[in-house]
Amino acid sequence: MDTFCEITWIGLAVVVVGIWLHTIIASPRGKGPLWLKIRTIRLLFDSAGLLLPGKGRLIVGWLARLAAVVVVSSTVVLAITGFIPALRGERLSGYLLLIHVSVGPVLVVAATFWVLVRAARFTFGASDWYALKAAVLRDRWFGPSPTYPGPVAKVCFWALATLILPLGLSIVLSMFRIFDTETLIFMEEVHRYCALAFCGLGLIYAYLVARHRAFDVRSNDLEGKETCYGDDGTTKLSQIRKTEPC
Amino acid sequence: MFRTAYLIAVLLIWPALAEDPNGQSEPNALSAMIGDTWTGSLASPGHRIVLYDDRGFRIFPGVNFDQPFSCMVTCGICHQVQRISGGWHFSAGLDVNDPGRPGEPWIYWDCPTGTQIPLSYRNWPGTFEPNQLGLSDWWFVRAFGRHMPGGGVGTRPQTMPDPHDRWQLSGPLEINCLSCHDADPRHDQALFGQQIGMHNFRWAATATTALGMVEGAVQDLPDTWQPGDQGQLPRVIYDDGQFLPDNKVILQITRQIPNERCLFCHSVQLAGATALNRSVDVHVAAGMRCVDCHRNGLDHRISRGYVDQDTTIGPLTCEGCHLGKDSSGMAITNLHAPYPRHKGIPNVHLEKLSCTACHSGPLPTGRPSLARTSRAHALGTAQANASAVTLPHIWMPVFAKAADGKIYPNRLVWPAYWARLDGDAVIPIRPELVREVAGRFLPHGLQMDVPDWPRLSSQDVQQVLQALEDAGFLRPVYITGGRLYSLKAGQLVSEPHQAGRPYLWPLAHDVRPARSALGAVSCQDCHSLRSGFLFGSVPVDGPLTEPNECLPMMVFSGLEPRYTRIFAWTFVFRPYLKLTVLGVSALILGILAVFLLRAIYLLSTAAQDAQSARTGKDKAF
Repeated sequence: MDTFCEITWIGLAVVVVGIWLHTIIASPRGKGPLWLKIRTIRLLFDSAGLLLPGKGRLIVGWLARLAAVVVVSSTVVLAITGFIPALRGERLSGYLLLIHVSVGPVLVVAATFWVLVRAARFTFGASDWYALKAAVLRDRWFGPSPTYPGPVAKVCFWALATLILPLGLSIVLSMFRIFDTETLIFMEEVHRYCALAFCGLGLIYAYLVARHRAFDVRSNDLEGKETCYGDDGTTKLSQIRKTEPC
Repeated sequence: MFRTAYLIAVLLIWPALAEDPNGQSEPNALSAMIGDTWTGSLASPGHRIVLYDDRGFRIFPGVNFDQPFSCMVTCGICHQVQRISGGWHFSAGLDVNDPGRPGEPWIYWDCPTGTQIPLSYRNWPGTFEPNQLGLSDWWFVRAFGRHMPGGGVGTRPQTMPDPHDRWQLSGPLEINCLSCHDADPRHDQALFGQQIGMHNFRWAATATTALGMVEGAVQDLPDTWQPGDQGQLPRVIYDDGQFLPDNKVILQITRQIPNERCLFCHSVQLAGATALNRSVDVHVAAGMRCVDCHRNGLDHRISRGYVDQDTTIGPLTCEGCHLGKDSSGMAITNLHAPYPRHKGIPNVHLEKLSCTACHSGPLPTGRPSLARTSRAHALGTAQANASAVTLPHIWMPVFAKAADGKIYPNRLVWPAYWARLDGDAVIPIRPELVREVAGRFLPHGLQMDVPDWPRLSSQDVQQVLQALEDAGFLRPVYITGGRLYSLKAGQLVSEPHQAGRPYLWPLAHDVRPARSALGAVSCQDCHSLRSGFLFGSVPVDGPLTEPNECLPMMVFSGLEPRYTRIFAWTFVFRPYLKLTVLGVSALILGILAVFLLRAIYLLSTAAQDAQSARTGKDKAF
C-alpha cells in the first residue's frame, strides 16, 4: 500500500468518524443522530423539489441549486473513478480514466458557477463572530437567517473554491509541453492530494449545511415559511438577540 | 623446429583450453593470458606478431607460405580463444541454455515454392532449428556463412550430419577475429562470403586481409579428392611486403571496433532508401561507435542493450547512459548523455513503452515498410538484390507488446512453408523436396530478376498438397499468412494456425533524436485515428494473401481497440477542455481575489473605525 493509499484511508476515516462523533456530541437535547439522519434525508428530497424551476423562484437560484447538484454528483463520480483504482494500488486507466476525464471539466465548470453565485452568501461578517462565540460558549444562537451556513461551513466553502484551482490546473497544465515528466508526476500527486482534501472538505461542508438546516429550530418551526426570513441578517439578528439572548 | 613451435603454441593456449567451461574465471586469474590482462594503458597495443596456420606451424615465407593463417592459433597465443568462443557471435548452436532475447533469425527463402522460414540455433519461439528442416550445418554455413564471423557450427559441425558435406576439404570455418578487430581499411569482409561460396572455409579469414590473396577453390575439387590427385587445394599468395625481416606481420588490431565492421552484418535499410536519404543513428552521427554501448568483456557476451541481459559488465541500456542508472536504480556509466526531460509526456508512457518505441526505427506510417537487412538480404555481397520487394519480406516497424508488458518496435516476418502434420506438430518440409515432388505445379521462372512471392493460386496449392500426399508425406499442409492450408476430402481448406504466426524481433536502431521522436510534435503523433503507431495496419504477407490484407497494429500491441479508438477521439476535444478549465480557473481566481480584497478592505476599515473611535474617546477625556 503506497503513502497516498494510506493517507486516503486514514483521511476519509477521520472525516467520517469525526462527523459521526460530532452528530453524537453536538446533538441538541432530545434529538440524536437518528433524528438527524431522517431529517437530512427529508431535506434531500426537499432540495430535489427545489431543483424544478417553479413559480416565483429566481432563475439564478435555480441554476445555483442545479450547479450544486451537478457538483455533488460529479464529485461522487470522480471520487469513485479516481479513488477506487488508487485504493487498490492501481493506476487510473481504461474506461474509468475516460469517465474521470470527461466528468472532471463538468465539476470544474459547475463548481465555478456555484462559487460565483454563492460567494456573497459565504462572505465572512459579524454574524460569524457571534456564531463562533456561541459555539465556544455552547450557547444557543440561530444565526441571522435559516440559510446562514455558519463560519466553519464558510471556511469549507472557500477552501473548496480554492481547491478547484489546483485540482483543475494540475491536470490541464500537464497537458501542455511545459513540464518534464518528473514535474508531471508531482502535479499528479498534487491532483490526488487536492482531490482527497476536496472530498474531505466537501463531506464536512455537506454535513454542516445539512446539520444547520436540520437543527435550525426556526426552520423546523416555520417549515414552509421560509420567506419569513430573508437574507437581511442584521435586522433579524437584532430581533433575535432581543428575544433570545445568547 | 616447426614441431617445437607447435608444441609451444599448444602449451601456451592450454590454460585457455583447460579453463572453466562456464567462463567464470577472472581475467587476472592464473589462466589469464598476456593479451587478456589490461595493463591500464588506454593506448591500443601493437600487434607485431607471428602468423600460425591451423596446425600450429609458423607461416614462413618460402616454406609453408601458401597456407592460410589460423586466427584461433595465432590469436590463441596471447588470448583465451576458448573463452571468447562462448560469445554471442559464436555460440549459436553450442549454448542452447542461454538464447538471450529473440533477435534477427536467419531466413531461408525459396522463391518458387513460396518459402520464407526463420531459422535459428537459439531455439527462439517462432524460429526453426535448421535440422528440423533437414538442413545440415554444412548447408547452413554455406548459405549464411557470408555474414558469420566463424565459430559455432562452422567449427564444430554436429547438429546434423550431411553425406554431401565437404568439411574434410573445406576445413572448419574458424572464428575470424579479424572480422571485427581488423582496423585496416584494406580489410574486405565481402571476400569472406566469396571464399565460403567456393567452400574455402579454412582460407576465408586470410582472404579478407591485406596480407595476401587466395587462389583456387575447394568447390572445383571432386568429393573424393586426395592429396596427389589431379587439382590442388587453394593456396595463399602472401604479399612479401607485409612481412617484416623477422617474418612477423603488423596487424591493425583494435578493441574499438570500427562501425563499418559491425555494419557489414548489421545494416538495415528501408526498402527504397538510397545512400542519400537513408537514416542515420543519432549516436553514430554524434561520433559514437557501436561498441561504445555494445561493450563486452573477455567472454565476448556483448551487451545487447536490453535491461535484463546478464553480462559480466552490466547492462548498458538507454536508461544507463541517459538517466545515469538502470531500471533498478544502479548507476552504470558516467557518460552523462543528455537527460531526457520528456516535456508534456506523462509518466504512464515511460511505464508502458520502451525507449525504442518512440525513439527508434523509422517513424510509423499507416503501414509498416519492407526492409532489407545484411543477413537476410546478403547486403554488402555480390548476392544482394537491390529490389525493394525481394524476398525475404521483413516489415518494420511493428509495435508489439513484449513479455515485460512494454510495447517495443519490432521487425516482422511472416513464415511461409510446406509442412506435414505429425499430431499437432507442424514439421516443415525442405523446399528442395517440394520442388522435386511437386515442381510441375509450381510457377516457372526459377531465376527471377526480382525474387518476390510466386503467383500461387488456391488450385496450385491444392495440387502441390495432393502431390506431396501422393509422394508419401502424411497430412501435408502449407503455412502462409498466418493460416494453415490443408486438404479435406480433396478440397483445400484453411484455418488460422499457431504455426503461421509471424516472428517478431525488437529493433533498436536507428535511434532518432528527441526532436524526431514520437510525441515530440504533439500527443496526436500517436493519439490520433490516423496514427500509424496505434492504428496502423500490418500487412499479412504471403503468396496466397490478398494484396491489401492487413491486421490492425493493436493485435500486436495488445491494446483494447474500442477503448484506444475512443481515447484517441477524445483528443479532438482536448483543446476545448484546456480552454474551458483555464477560463473557469481564471474566473475562480478572480472571485477569490475580489473577495480577498474585500475582506482586506473591511478589515482595514474596521481597524480605522476602531482607531477613530479610540481617538474620539481620548479626545472626550
